[in-house]
Amino acid sequence: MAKMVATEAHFNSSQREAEPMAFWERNMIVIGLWSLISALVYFGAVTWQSLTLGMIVQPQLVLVLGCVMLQVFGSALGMLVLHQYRKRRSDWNEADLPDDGMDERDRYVKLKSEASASHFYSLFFFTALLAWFAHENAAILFHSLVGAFYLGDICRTVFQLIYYNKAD
Amino acid sequence: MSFREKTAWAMGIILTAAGAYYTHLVITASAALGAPAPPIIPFVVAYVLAIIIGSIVIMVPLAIATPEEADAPADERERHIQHKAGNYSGYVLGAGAIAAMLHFTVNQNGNMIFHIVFASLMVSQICEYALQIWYYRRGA
Repeated sequence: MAKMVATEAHFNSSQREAEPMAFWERNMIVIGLWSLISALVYFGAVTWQSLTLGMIVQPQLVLVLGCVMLQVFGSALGMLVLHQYRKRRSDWNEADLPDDGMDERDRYVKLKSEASASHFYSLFFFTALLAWFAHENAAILFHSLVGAFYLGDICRTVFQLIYYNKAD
Repeated sequence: MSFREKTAWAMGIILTAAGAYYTHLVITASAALGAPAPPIIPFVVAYVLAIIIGSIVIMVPLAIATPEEADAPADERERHIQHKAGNYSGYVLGAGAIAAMLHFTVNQNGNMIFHIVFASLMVSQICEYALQIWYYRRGA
């Protein structure tokens, strides 16, 4: 009996290990990582410039756009690499998927996680606005809003990963 | 009409009324100054209090009138509607925040970045409930 239980446990464990991560689940990890990298670049640049100037640096559209481009192109490149890797898998058939590359579960997870994250975006934006009354500095408010975007984006990624691994 | 549709109507009306009240306060202050008024904390507190009090005044009687529906968890259709409405309202908020940041980089007006983002928050919340009502009526 003990052997049977042990064998079953081993089978379940092997089955779990063999189960591949969903394609969009991997993509979300890539997108989340690039959000984090882009946020670190933005706030690293702002901190460095502010320390050099001895005051909070004014918002720069070029820096914001640069970080957005870094996030978009970094994510796109990562997803492209994953897509190429996936194409080599013998059990994968592109024709099985709809045009947008998402099946029903992917779309549901995306919808639910974006809905959940939208409340966090609201919370972060509202916190950034409330903080205005403490500092009354438009540049800090701007940087706080950029931070709110990044935090919201990371929350969205975390929600997607949770919903991929947790049944509703 | 389902309980959740009623609550969506109630919250939509409360948020619209509170938003109109806040906007009136800011416009009056700006007109008196002749320029966009700086963010004033009593206005924000008044807005938040109006929503809290309005919610209690309207939602409590609604819940008392239909306690079974109020206690019941959202069904699959209601959850889908809430997710869809929450999703699209997030885009409204994001678009407003980006517009505020672009406005600031062009005009360097710190007061306006606050007002635009605050307005985006108000509009996105109203949109969320308006979309919920739309989906309850027309199907998600």
